[in-house]
Amino acid sequence: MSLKGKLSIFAVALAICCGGFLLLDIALMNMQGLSLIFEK
Amino acid sequence: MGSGALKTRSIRLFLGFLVVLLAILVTGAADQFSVHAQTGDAFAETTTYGPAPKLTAADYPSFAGVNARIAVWIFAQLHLWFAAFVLSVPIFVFIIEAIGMRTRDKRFDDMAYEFIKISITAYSLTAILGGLLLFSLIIFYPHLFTYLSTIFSGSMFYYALLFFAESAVLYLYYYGWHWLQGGLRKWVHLTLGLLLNAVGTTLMFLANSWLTFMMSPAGVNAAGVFSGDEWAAIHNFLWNPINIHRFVANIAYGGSIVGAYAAFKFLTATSAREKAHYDWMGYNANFIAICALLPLPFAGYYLAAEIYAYSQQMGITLMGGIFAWLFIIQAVLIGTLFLSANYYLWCGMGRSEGAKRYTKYIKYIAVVLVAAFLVWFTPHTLVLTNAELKSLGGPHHSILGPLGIMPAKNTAVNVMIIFTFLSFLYYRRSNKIATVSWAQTGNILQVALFTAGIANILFLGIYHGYYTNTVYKVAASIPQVVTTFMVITGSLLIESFIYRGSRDVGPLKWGHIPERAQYALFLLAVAFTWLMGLMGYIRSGIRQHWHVVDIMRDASPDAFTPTLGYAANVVSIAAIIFLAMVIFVFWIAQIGSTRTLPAGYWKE
Repeated sequence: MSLKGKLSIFAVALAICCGGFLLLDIALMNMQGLSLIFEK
Repeated sequence: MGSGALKTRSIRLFLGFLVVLLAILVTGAADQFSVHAQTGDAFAETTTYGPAPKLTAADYPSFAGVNARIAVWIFAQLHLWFAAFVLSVPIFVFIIEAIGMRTRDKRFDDMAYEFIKISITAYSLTAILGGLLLFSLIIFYPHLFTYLSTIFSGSMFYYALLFFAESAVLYLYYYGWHWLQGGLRKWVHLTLGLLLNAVGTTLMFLANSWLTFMMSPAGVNAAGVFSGDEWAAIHNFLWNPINIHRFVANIAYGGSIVGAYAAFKFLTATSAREKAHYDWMGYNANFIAICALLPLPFAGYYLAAEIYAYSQQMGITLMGGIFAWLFIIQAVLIGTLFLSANYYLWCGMGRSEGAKRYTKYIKYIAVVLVAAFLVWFTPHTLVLTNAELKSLGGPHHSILGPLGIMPAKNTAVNVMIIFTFLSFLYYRRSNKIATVSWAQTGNILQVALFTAGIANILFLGIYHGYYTNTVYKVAASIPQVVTTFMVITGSLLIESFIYRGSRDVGPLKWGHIPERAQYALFLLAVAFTWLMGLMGYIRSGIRQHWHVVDIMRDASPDAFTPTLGYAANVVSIAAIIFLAMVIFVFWIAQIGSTRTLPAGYWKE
């Protein structure tokens, strides 16, 4: 596999993983009701 | 009827009797507690309980110049260490026996038997030390013991009966090992192992309820008058956090002690065959210890968070007050645990020729581990002289000071766990060659998962730790933990597909490991022991001048918090006594398998 091919797969996988983790962070922080405390 | 069938029938009858006896005990205990729970108020009306006694110094008997607090402290600590050992060994003996049954590899069965053999002597010592603790409590703290035994009369009674059942199952499990082999008999033996663990864990949970009642009393009013509802007293606020923490920690501790046993046997082995056996045993023990060590910081963090939730005063005493500096020692010791566990894995890679492909990465893992270790034990507020304070401009270092707060520690712990897992992955891969066509793509996916996971942990730690409100700082620790968990499970999943149908580089050369790796196993056991003693002191010490927090005051001459140096000395002396006793246990196991054949002594 060429370097360009490797980097493309890595970039796509990294973007998906980062997006997934960010969604997880938002979901878990909201589950703890923090937005309810601080929005007021 | 043949003798074989008769034996099988007698085994079934005996086991049936044992299961029924245990069922009666457990349901009896549950019934006892639930009746109390349902009729707690009615019970309180018919049975009169007094308030918690208000004591004076004269209420604490002295005996032969013995310091009551130190005597109880050392006996309790020694009892706890041995109890942790004998409760955990059957857990992984059960797992190893099940693996042996599934793979039909007799080496696992032999290893499981050797592990349980070690715990037999340790079991007697646990009971003896428990007796010493009980008698010293009755002698030196009679009023406290009477108060607690009034509230926990039911659970203490069933504890004693369950202890009897535990002994019966343990002896049957151990002495019946070679008798219950093959087919149905092996299943019966495995079931006995399960029963042994169920009884042992129930025993620990009951004892945990007594100590957590002293920290977070329930089922009593403000004056300490018992409502009659024993279940409420057992199911107090800190009971389950301690149950979880101790259950996980015991497995890690048992693994480390058995690992030390394997190291001891490896170093004294004279043949290559023996060395190979004990090397393999040490690896398995270390593997179990690491598996339990990885989730342990989270269980500890959960316990600490629950202590804060129960009482802010106790929480602040715990990590913001006098005991805070013991957490720095804790960080040093846990860092030592991680470093020695990793070092053992790196040395173990020498068992395979294929490890050369990965050894170049070890130095980078070591750098990250050491950096995380340094962050973990950076103190928040320094203990300084006036001149030092003046020169520094305050108790906080301008650059390193921010590393002293929990978000930095949580980030460091999670990074350490991920890199320890990476060491394990390299170890696992060292003797394998992937055969699937997409192995390289799989590797790239794993690198992306690790990179994104670490970036997320750093983002949560830095952004929420330093740029948002305090509540977010604490809350961000949960997604950090979940991220670590997802990196580990996701990576293992990809790994299992990559190495499906893989080839071995060659046979693993068990016994080909430097002797210094065995000292890493000793270090693991010693660091665990010391750590448990010090952290146990903190857990107990945050009650300060209370026997039972806010209910029953300690009026003894020792009702003060000792200096950290004094406490560390007591724990260190107890740890030395314990380790000497453990060496005795190892030695007993060694002479138990040694035969002397004196020439001409016996008649032909």
